Amino acid sequence: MNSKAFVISFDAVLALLVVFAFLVASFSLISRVSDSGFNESFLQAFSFDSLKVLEASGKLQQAALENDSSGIDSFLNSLPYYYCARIDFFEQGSSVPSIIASKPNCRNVPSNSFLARRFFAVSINSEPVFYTAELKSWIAG
Amino acid sequence: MFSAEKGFVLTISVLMIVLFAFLFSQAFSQSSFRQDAVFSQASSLEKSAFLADNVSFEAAGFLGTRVFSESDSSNSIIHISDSFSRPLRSKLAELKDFAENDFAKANNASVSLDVSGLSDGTAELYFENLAEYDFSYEEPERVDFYSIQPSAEFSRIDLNIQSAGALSDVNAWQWNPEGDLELNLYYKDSAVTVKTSGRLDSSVENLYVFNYAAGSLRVSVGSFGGKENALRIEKDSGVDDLIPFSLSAFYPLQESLEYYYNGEASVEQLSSQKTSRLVPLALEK
Repeated sequence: MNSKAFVISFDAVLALLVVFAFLVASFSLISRVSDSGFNESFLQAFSFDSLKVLEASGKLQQAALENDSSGIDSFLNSLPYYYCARIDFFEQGSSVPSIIASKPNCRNVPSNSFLARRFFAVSINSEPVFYTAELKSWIAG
Repeated sequence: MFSAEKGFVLTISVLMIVLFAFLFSQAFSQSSFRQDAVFSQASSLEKSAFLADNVSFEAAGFLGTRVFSESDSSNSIIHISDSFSRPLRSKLAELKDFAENDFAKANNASVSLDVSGLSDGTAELYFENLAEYDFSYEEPERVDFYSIQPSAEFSRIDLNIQSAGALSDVNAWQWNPEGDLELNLYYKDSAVTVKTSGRLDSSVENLYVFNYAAGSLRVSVGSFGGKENALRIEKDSGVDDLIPFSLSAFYPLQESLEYYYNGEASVEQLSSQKTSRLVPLALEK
């Protein structure tokens, strides 16, 4: 009787272990799946489109010429709440941004933000001056 | 509590459910990784296209010509808007230098901007199989628009010129009611407006001269300089105002037109490469 009970208990524990192992493996596989691909794809499309629209509408050039980010700010402020973006302007040869524009609720740029760059030229005294607009975008946590 | 058969069925059921959950997780995980790989590849392609578009857009901005084409039931119409005295037009070499070095380095990409055919003093804009628009931006600045096929010639030109200068007098061409080319000319400056329409013989050169104190602006239509079915607008260097003009050329045929500059931009990023023709800026109608 005792040895029978032992076999049954051992059998049950073994079965539970097998089930547990499968469950752990399943959770492990599921947890490796992330939505970063979707997010990155979305952020990339949004960043590229935003920079293109801002340039085509003359807002990038205006900001660089007037050293005033108000046009860019109003664009960023019109974004959905959870969508964060910041645009830094760099004049050719400079590593210090001449203008920074960002959404009020998006001051801290996370390390996993998406980065897109677009360059443009403005004419100053009939000479081209090149700028690079660097847009960092991310989904607010 | 349970019979042996019931216990067996329960055990098998639990095992099958757990196994199914495991296989589902595995399939889902693999599918997700495959999607990530696709996203990653698409991302690289999209970035190359974005960078090529950026370079192409800047080159078009330096050249400044704007184009729109349309077709109605009887005509294909090319609309071109342009201006003399654009200072950036002759600075394409600087654009090329920035794009191929600073910009390429910042994006970890290889950028090639071929503007050799545009930075030699004349920017050529091709309307596939139909016409060519050449802008010579060295002095004297000159625009030539001409058909490249004898079988497809424009039958009407609408020309609109605006100047900030003050016209002193004009030498007008002679209209020919029997002519094969319809022309509508509108000129406006700070003091004078000229609006004239009529027909011209396209087998000869018809010259209209706007004289200013410091030089003249000449409009030729017809055949000249080895070109037939052509339009030329030429400005003396003394006339240094920014002179915007627009022209609409009507072709009695129905074709969707492709147009592009004599140059191209190529971007290579990771394993993706994108080469695109330089296209002019769009003209808003």
